[in-house]
Amino acid sequence: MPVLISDRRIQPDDAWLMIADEAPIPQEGPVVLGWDRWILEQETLRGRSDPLGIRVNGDVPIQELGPQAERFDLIALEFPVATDGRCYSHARVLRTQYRFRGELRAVGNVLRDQIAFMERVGINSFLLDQGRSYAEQALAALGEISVAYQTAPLDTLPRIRRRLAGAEPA
Amino acid sequence: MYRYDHYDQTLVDERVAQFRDQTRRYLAGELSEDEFRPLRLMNGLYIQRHAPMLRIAIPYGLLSSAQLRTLASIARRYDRGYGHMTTRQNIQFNWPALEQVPDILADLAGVEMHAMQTSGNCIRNITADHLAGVASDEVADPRPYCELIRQWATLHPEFAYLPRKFKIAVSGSRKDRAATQVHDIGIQLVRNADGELGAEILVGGGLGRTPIIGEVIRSFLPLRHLLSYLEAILRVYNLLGRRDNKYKARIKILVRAMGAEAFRERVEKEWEHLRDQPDLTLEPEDIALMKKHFPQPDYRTDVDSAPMLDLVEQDDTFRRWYKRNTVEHRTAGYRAVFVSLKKPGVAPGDITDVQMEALADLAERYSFGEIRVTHTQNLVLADVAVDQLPALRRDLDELGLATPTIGTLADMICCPGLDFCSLANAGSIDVAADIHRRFDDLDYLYDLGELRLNMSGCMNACGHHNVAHIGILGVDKKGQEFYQITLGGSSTNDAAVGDRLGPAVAKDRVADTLEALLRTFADHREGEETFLETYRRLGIEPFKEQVYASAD
Ligand code: SF4
Repeated sequence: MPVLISDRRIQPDDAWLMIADEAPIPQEGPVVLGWDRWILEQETLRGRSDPLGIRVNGDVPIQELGPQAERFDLIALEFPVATDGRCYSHARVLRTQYRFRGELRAVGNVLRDQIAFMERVGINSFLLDQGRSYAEQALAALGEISVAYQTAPLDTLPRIRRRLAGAEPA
Repeated sequence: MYRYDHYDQTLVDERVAQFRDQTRRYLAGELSEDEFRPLRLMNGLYIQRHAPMLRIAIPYGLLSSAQLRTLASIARRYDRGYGHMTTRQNIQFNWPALEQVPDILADLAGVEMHAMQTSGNCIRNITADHLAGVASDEVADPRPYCELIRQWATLHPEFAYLPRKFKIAVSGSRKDRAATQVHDIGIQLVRNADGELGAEILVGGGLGRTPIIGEVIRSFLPLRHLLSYLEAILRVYNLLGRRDNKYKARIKILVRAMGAEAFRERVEKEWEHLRDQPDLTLEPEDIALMKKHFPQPDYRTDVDSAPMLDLVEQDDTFRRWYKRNTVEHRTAGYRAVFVSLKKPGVAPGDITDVQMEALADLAERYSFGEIRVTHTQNLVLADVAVDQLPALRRDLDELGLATPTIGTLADMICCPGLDFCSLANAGSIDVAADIHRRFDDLDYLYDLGELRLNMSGCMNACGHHNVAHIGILGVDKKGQEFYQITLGGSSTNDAAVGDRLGPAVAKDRVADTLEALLRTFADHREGEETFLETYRRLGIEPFKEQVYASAD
């Protein structure tokens, strides 16, 4: 059973239903669709009032996704392998440039030792495939490094300046 | 030099604890080899031919005496008593035990050092001119900007999983001593017509199997925008760089494929969104504060250079060393001194624990307690009063660090090659030893003049062979070690990729081949021309003829 961490808590259940590309879309309830499916079927989905999510990977051009982002309540960013870092940029661009405020969820190969970086680019939920105790460790790993030189997208204070202002040479 | 504050210290301390736990989990079988690999690489740890290899960052080449003593102690306690200086101002240890690496990292953190991002597909150690702050041709001291970039790049969450490694070099002088044109990003500090300081930005340079000289995509960037512009470049690369083929994944391939102009447009477009972000903007007071970390040392004003100059006249040994191993300093009465790591019989760039410790003392006695690492695998004491030079030379000589061959053929760059590196095709250290044996006559070396000879054990070009005046590349020919020679490369202002001379030569023919090349040079040289000048005037043919004719 995949375990969901969101807003730094393990969530008991998840309302979102991931819809495989060939599967029918249920009439009601929150669903997450693949990008290609969305592109093909967006006309028919236009009237849908239940929450809608989209699943994208690094191949999806961010200039195409970004302007539509506010249409979605959830954007699932797919990490096909741990070393594919493109969705880190997607997340940051969605948060800072397109001001996306909904849920950004990491799915796919989501590892304990990477989610701190993911969180700092603005991803706020993580779907982990490795069971509950792994998820608990992952949650703890979010606090392993308590300082950062870069601002996280939802921070308000400019970090470098704030820090430089307070740091006189020894 | 830059001193950590509480914030910096917390970061490295927590990073050590994190890696200690990761190592523990790996050893306990909780982390797979594949999962552990990127984690250890981002902490500087490779698995090599004999043992793990740990690469430690020396940011922009600057070390304090205390830091050098810690490196000495690491060499002694965890390794076999020596370390290896690299072309990217890092130090490598070849024999640490994996279990002990967290302890080594903790020792480093104790002296404000780390091994973060010295490997892996992330932003690597920022390198700079080894004469920063003392060169007389300097436009501005690059070190404050290097440190600002170092902090920006450290554990940058967006750029931890790039398509491939990413190297940035900064030069603040007219003469480029930081090889900025062969880096993923080269930054050259410049002044515009109004006298305002800014940065010229080059992208897409690099060595490896497809050596390319970088292209200028911005001739003047106001420094307040330095970080936002870097962020824009990195973002474009992270999103568009190839990930399907590791040989085509460097930014140089992307820049080539898009064309520099299209790449520039894409970066500028991205930058529009970033340029006014306060956290990426360097205000004048931010820069001023960082500059305070790099004050001018307290130079003496009573230095009498006359006795030293007399010695230059009278003493051959001293004269040779003075002429080859010391260079002009912008302050009257001072010179910058090269500490040679090219003693014949020793692998180029290697330094022992005893030498490191002694040198830390010498730096305190003669040069304000600071040491720099050069990209040619030597060290520099940058601020030595000239009346101290005779004593310093004697002290260095006793340590085997005064070989008076800086800038000559014998000052060759050499990667670890087959002896240590699991990627190597051929040995490099033993070839260096051959060359040192063959060309041991100082007067001959001096006659040849400025000559950059670089050697790499494989295409990865850690030894920068493809931008050497004479480059030597180890290749594998049916299981035999062979060497491909290139001529006419350079990594400084006149940067160029060397031309291939012809078929690779066998190991025992490398020194002969060099001799033939140098004979051709001597035959055709006009006046005091350097090898490179003669080569560029004549082209490759006469060299080719000489080498392959004498091979028959
Ligand atoms: S050039 Fe090749 S052989 Fe030499 S250190 Fe680099 S990877 Fe190893």
